[in-house]
Amino acid sequence: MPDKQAVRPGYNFAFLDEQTKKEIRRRILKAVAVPGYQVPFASRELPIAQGWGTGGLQLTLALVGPGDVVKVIDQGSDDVVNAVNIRRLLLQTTGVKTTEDTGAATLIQTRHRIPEERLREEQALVFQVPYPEPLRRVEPSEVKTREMHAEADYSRLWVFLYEDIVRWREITIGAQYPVLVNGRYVMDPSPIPRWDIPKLHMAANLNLFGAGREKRIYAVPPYTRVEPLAFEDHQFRVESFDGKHCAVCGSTASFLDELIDDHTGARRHTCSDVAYCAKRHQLLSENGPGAGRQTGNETGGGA
Amino acid sequence: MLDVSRFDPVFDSQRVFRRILGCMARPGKVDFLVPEESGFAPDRAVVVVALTLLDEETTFAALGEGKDRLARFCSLIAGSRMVPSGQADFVFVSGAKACPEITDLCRGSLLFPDRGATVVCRVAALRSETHERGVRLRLRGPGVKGEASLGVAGLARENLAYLREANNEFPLGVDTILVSADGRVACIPRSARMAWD
Repeated sequence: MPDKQAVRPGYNFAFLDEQTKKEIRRRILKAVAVPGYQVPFASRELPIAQGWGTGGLQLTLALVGPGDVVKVIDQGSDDVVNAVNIRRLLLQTTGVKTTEDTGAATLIQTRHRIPEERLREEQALVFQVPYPEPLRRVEPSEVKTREMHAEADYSRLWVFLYEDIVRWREITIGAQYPVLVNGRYVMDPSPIPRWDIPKLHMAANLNLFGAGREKRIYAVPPYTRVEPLAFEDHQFRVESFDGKHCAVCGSTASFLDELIDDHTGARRHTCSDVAYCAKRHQLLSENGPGAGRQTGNETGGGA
Repeated sequence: MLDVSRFDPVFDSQRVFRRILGCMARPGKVDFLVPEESGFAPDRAVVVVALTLLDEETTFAALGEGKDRLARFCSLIAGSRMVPSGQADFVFVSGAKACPEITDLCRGSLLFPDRGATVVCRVAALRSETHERGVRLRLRGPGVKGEASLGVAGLARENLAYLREANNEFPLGVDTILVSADGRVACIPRSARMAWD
């Protein structure tokens, strides 16, 4: 139940006025009905700057209710500045319950990661999106990219990927890898690592994307085909962490961050998803080393 | 006029929206819009949908049985503007009788498919299994794991054919919110492929 003490007086529930929420809600329904298509919306001013997650935040504010349990992550961590600020804003304008436990959340706002724990049907994941247009790297004009989407003309993007392979023997797009949604629209999945792309395909949960500065909302409903763009003779690959493991929990099946010691120069890796890592660490310390045995990428990704 | 005194514009509209969203994201899913035991008027489910989604920025049209009462309600209470059905953002239809206007609703453009209309269709009853008095819909597509089944009573087969015709050119089309006299909701987004017995 909401924490009334935490709520600052003088604000509407969830900060936004009701007419703004209504508009965002209508756009969300259209975004869900046309998976991968970018729906324009008004995008209001918020007490955080555009570029700091205002798109995701507006979605969360239009969605959230007193019964929700909210988790906010930035690059997999609950405790960095962007996530902390957004969580505090949500708490102070709604009093809603917050958590760091992926499994306990009903609504998760994320910047640039999908949690390692597999999400369930009743959960919704809200992405903060800096650049919603996947065709922007080949076409600067919004009028033209909109036409290209209308005609499902993605040839210039395919040429771009092909030339990348010719030049570098690899598609050089790391994060923000373009995907085809439901066989119709090419979509920018936000700057999540390649590692997370397979988690979008036929996911059980609803995925919503909000770009505040660019004023776009789009969605991937549950159980929807999401295919990374690839060639028959050049398959899509996720990041490889062969021979590496998390220095904290020992995980060999999660997306790892590399840390370099300032003094010794030694390199080690830790899980990018901090809540997942903490959960595994606790499980190991309670039940001994056998408890956290993994069978490959738990989300079906596979390196 | 329909009773709005028990509708909280902040918390009820949030709750109703989340349920509609849950159903739009999962075609075939049936949820409650208003508590079953509350003893509401048969139109209450339509009223809460209108109060949740309509405002002065939106346009609407009302077709079929009870259209005058609904039109008065939407203009006066929700503040929405009435326009011919072919131009409306929201179109209220009564499912029981054939409504050929469905094929002439706004389906958006290839540049802006989101401008396609939202149809709010009143039916007698909605069940996730077969309803003894109604038609059984089979739905496939985004949001559905395999195939979903939806039992609808009080929805003319002609209207299903009209809806399928309106949605035969994805991404153009209309998105349908079915609301039943017993307070339930289910959705058929344009992305759903639909068959019935």
